[in-house]
Amino acid sequence: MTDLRVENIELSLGAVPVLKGATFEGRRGEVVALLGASGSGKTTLLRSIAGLEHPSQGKIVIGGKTVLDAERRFSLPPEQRDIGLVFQSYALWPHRTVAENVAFGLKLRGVAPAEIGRRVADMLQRLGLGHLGERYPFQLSGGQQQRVAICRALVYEPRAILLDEPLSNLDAKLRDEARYFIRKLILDLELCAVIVTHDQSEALAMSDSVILLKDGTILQEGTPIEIYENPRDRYVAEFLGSNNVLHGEARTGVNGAISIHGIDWQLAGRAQDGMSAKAAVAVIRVDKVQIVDGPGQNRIPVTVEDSIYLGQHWEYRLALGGAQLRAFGSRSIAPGPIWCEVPADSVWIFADRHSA
Amino acid sequence: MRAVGDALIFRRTTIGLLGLLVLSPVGLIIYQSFLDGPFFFPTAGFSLSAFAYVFSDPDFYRALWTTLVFAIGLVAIAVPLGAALAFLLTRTDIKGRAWIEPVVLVPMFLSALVLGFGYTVSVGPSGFVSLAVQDVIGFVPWNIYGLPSLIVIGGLSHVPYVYLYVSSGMRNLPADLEEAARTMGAGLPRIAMEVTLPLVLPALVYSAALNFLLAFESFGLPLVLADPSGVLVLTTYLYKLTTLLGVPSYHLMAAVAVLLLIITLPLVAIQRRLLDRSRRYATVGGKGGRPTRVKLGTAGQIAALSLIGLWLLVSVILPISGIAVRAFVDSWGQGVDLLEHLTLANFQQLFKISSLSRGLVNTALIAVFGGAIAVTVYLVVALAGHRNTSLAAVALDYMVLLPRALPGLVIGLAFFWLFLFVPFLSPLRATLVSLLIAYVVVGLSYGLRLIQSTLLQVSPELEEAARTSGASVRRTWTEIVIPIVRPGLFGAWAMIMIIFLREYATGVYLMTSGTEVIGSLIVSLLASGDLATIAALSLISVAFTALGLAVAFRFGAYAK
Repeated sequence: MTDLRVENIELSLGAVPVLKGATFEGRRGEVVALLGASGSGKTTLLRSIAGLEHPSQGKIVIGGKTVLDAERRFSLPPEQRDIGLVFQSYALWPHRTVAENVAFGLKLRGVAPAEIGRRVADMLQRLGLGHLGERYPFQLSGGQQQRVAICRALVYEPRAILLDEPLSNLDAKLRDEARYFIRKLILDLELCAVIVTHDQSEALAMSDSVILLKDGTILQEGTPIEIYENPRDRYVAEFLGSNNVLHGEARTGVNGAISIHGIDWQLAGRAQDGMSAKAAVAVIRVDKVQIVDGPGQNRIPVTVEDSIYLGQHWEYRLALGGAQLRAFGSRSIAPGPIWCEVPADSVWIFADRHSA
Repeated sequence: MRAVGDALIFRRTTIGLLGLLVLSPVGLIIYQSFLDGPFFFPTAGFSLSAFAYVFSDPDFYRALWTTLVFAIGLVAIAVPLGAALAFLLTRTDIKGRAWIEPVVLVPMFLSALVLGFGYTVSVGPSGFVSLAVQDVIGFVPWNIYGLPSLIVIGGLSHVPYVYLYVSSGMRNLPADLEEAARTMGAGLPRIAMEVTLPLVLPALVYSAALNFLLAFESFGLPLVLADPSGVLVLTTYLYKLTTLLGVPSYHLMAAVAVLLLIITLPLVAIQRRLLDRSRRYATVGGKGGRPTRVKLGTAGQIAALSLIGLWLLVSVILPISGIAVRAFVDSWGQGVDLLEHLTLANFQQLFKISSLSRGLVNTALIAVFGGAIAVTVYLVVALAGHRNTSLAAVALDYMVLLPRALPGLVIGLAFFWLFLFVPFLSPLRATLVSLLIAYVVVGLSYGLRLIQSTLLQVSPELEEAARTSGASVRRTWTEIVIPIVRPGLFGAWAMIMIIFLREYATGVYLMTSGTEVIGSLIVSLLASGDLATIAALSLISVAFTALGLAVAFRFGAYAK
């Protein structure tokens, strides 16, 4: 069942368009990630769902209830939308204890005091905060504060839970733990969740569906695997993972196979955006480039300029004519000419619209 | 598109009521200025005669010119001194900073009237310092009555206003800017002149504009120090018009008030724009971190401390000690041994005469309870404008400028008229309510700014978190915003208390049996020359202010 429907949201700040028609859906027991660089409009989109921003166009339905219909000039204030929002800064009220912070939403909904006490204690217990109820927010660590913020947004069982970069203020170790436990909690409680993040690994690890935004437009939407392994847009391909970019000329073979050609190299690949343009660009994930001994199928001659030790592996700096390539391997390689191989599946060819 | 449930009705009603409160006195003054007699005379008709009279009066031009010279002189003295003080106290390792910092602000909290009176009894023609000097060298080498001394004393007493803004600008400067200059071999004066001061230029310009405005609205000092020698400024000129023609010449006073408004309103508008700009400027730097302070060295310490000491001596110790001495003696003059004339009679007098004792009680009431009521009013108004992006909020911004552009004397006058002639208001005229309303308007722009800045310290996300949890705007204010800013509200209350304690001009016209306050009593006693009573009242006023300051520091309020 669709618990959240966002249709064609448009919003401008002054003359600057921030959102240009975003549409997506969220279901119960599912996490949708809004992924994008800063300025892509992802947080504005989330705040529009919460009712904290006022789109000029579009419609939002939460749990069957229309909360925004710009055409009819109808907009419910945040407090009537039945949502929970976890802020990037956590926004815990400094003058209230942890328990009072969490209890506020229940109090506003007229829940009986005894019931409030029970549900707050349950929720805190569930997130391992049972002993901290009487503390004030400033007495907690960052990780604890974040869990309080999540408790506060979940305790009254809202129809949709919105999380704005919930992990960005945690240190790296805590972050890995938190993204696992937050996802598990959302699935356990069968919530409809939307999470905003600029961190691709966070989006991939936490969500069932990733929406990649750029300049207020949704570029691609799909499961984490789809969006990572089959990007339909050059920006999407380059935004995710660590990439090599080669400029060249696209040619279509007799059997429809596509390849990209440089001055003294060529690679068979996959046309990802159905382009027909001649000027093309190939995006290749760094980890898909294999160093090999000699020529062969889909291999190109390169020159090793340097090998850099990165701990887990070595990174090779390769020159291909004027272009630069990177590849990973398990040992140091002496500078000099060598070959590398890329599977045709991993050579993603796009039209080169910004050809230099 | 605005969401429903944004407390629009509350916001509009509040801003509308405030508009009534602010615009009705101003409107009445403007209306009155275009009549040929008091507005309550049935014969009064529309006429430009008031302006014609004022424009043909040579005294008006003299007062205008004097005010201008006074304002320029005051700025020329206050700004360099205030800037030097700010530099010494924020950017150098001057000794005794902890106690100098609060003391430096004291002249700002004293009523100008009390201060002016203090000078007359200490360094006036028969002041105790003057007499002591005369005993030694045979004559008094100064004359405190007249424009030059008015400029000097005005300039010295306005130093804190400069210090306040410039020092907060300097505190925000990252110290590495100065350190960079030091590593290149710049000495202290060079750093001050070429690095620090240019960086706080917006604050300097702002405080110059502010002091220029304050000079135009100044009433107490010119009344005490310039009036006796026949020198008038615009405010004292207006005051003198009261009984010029035998009947109350309201239309003339209104005309002068309108002319004053035409001069001050643009000043206020400019000042506001400057403040916005200097705030923007200040946020550029200030990455935090403890500022390392420039070392003064022994000679530098001595020079800096004597400069500050001299300034404090002249602008605080001299007038207050004069008041203190005068309040406890019954006679005074050449050859009088003060020790033989020690007495408490001056204070006993205050408790014997009912209008005087009422004045003391009223002053305390209006400061403590009136201050609390005023803070409540300002809080309600501030909430109406809080995170409000509508036109009403813009209207609020501009409305607040109006009372700022009018001296308290004129606002008091306008409310006096309103209470005199609006039928359902007139029973309130002889009560403290009339005074309180006028005070609330006089303190509006300062008090509102104080509370607005406190409200802005609450991060918007804390409010948004309440809204998304299901709280209405009102609930968000009462349960989240107000509890968080509570300490700030107490601080604001203490500051408003001090403002109300030292206010004297607003009550001048509203004074009647039952609405006396210390300030307006002193103004009326000045005419009769009862120095002993004035001294006793002034000393009590100083004591009240000291109490108020103690409360303010207790709440950790720092004057903004």
